[in-house]
Amino acid sequence: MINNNEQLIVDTIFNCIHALNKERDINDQIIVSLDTYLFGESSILDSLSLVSIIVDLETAISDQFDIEISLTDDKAMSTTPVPFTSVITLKDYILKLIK
Amino acid sequence: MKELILHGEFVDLIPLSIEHAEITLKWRKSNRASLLNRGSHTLNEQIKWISTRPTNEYNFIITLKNNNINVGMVSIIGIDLNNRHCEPSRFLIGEEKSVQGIPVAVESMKLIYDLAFDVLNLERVYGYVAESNINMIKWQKFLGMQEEGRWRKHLFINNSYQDAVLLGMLKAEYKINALPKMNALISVGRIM
Repeated sequence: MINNNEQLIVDTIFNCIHALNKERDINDQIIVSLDTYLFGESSILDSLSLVSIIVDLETAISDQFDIEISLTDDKAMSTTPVPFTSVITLKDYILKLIK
Repeated sequence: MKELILHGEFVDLIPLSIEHAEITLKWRKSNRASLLNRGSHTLNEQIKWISTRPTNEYNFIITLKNNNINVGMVSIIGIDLNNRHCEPSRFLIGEEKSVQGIPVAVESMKLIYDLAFDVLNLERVYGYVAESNINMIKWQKFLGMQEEGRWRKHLFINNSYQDAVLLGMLKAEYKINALPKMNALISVGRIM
């Protein structure tokens, strides 16, 4: 069962993807789902778009939970799988950071 | 400036030449380039533009290492060896589909910054972005650029005036703040 913080993080990630979609072509929309891959072979994002999501998300999480997070520091990069592989890995990683 | 090829893990930056006129013209006329200064309108204009680049700039085509597909362009211009600064510029990914899931943009910028700071031994890079180009501003700041001011109504794009957001980064800021983030994003491409 998903708890309040978990739901809030998922909603925040989804909002960031929606924001990016607004700037993308109608035929090039990112699917907003827990299973969406954000980077790598199965993703439709390039690094420009990924950075857009990372920046928006770091800012939004900081605002909502009053905690500074980095999704590209050494700690994040040594996590397996890498946090921004997919929406679900990102959510799990952020959940750990705010606990 | 002598011709250089910059080698990365996922991309190479090769010198822009007139053989790239057709593809670069296509990229420059695409919607994705609508927030850049408008360039040539015809192939002949583009050939002339490429063949008349001044000696104080490097212009590159971004090429995927694994299949040699040309996917974009990037330059450093206004290289000033006395004051030790230059302007990274004309950064454009033209083949979006070909770069999905590959850290092409970030590695291209890393190669450009390495050229500026390590090869040319410059102290500062700078540039400006149209205020409505929000993703590019976000991108540049994530990669270490700091907002240093604005030129009001400096640009006339899509029939309206826009401020130019002025951005700059010093060598030390690049090494301490930007480079680790860039390496992190590139390493993701390695893992995937």
